[in-house]
Amino acid sequence: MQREGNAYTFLFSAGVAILCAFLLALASQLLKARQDLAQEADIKRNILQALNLLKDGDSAYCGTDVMEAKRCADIACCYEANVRPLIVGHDGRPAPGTGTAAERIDLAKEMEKPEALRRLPVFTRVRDGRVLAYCFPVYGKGLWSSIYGYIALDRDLDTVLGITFHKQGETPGLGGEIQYPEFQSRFNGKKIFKAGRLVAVTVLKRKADTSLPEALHQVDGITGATLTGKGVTALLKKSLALYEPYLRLEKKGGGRNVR
Amino acid sequence: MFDKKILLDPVGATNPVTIQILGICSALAVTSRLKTAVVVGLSVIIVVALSNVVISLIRNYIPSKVRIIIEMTVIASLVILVDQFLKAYAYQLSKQLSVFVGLIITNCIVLGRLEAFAMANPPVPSFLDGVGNGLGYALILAVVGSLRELLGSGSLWGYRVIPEPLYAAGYSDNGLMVLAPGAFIILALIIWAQRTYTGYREE
Repeated sequence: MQREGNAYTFLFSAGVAILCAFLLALASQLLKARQDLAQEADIKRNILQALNLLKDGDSAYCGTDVMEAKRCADIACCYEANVRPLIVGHDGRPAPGTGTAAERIDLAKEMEKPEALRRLPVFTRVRDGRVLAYCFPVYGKGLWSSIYGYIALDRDLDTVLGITFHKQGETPGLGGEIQYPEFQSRFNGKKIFKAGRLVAVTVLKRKADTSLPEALHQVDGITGATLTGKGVTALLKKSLALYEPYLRLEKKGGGRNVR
Repeated sequence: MFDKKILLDPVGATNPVTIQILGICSALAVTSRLKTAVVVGLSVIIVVALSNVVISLIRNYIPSKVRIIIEMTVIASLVILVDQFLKAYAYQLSKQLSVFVGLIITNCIVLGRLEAFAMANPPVPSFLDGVGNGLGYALILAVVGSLRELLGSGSLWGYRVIPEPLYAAGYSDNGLMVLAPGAFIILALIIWAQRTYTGYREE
């Protein structure tokens, strides 16, 4: 066959394309199990981080005052020992699961479902049968990307214990800073209820004026990332609103829903 | 077969970043922290070396009309492979790198070496050329990365280097170093220093 002919060119290109596609498919199949494991570990790490059980992002730090009896060296152990996941419906009452583990529920998909079919995961930090803190997934759109994260609330279901954003594609160096503790720690201690109304936490364009009472529900924005900040504000409101019935039930029931 | 010049020249004398001025964009993007700079450097070494070998193996069979397309297909496949491996074995890191690993596809160094070297040379020298150019790129990235992290965040490889008392005494990190202009300035200084030392002139 002629080297520069059209037939040869087509055959050669097709051959290369098919070979490359085959190799990539093979690699993705072989690595899938491991990638899933890594992803799940990452989710657990983020829940623990939001609940303030990990002191820094890299190493599990489950010892200290939390659990003297059992020291944990890895994420899975720390998670098992501290966190009880449960699934609630749109009315805030415990709902039967659908076979998907609570960690695997994708909040983005649940938001699209009709209300009655929604299954919302809640991660509670439990010690000696008592709930010490709650952790909820949050999801929404930033400037460029979907942002996934977790927000943890103290026992009073009002004070923010911690927040993490574990999946985002905002501008690195600007909006992308939301994935670093420097920004996330600004949320600690903020309140999501204002006189009984759910207001969540607002990311401001400027610095929060701490002399005003509103500062309790506001955090400083990131310079150059106003739109990412707006996205974070909106996603917190939207996600926490999903859980409002649960929050109100829990507040009345005082954590008796725990099994 | 084994020519040391092919391997070592691109690290210094014909460095892809400072002499050939290729791959500047990614050199700015991934160097705000040393760790990401090193991982991207390693990934580029792997991608350039392997794609050089593959293209060199089939160089006599590639129809010249679709040369660039075939080259891009090979590069893209290799980059996706690297990305998949990072996702499986270094998940935290792959999250931090996010789009930058994918952007290796558009790194001029890779396509540049395929066109300039692998299309005309046998596999072994091509492999050496790929490793050499990857090393040259990784070296510059590592230098820029460590300077930016040290001056911009006061740490190296994620560990705090500049002691707390110094901050208490009034020292503060240079915010410019975290942003892209910081990389531009450092890169320019490196290029200037190297060219002053070697007397290299652009013809």
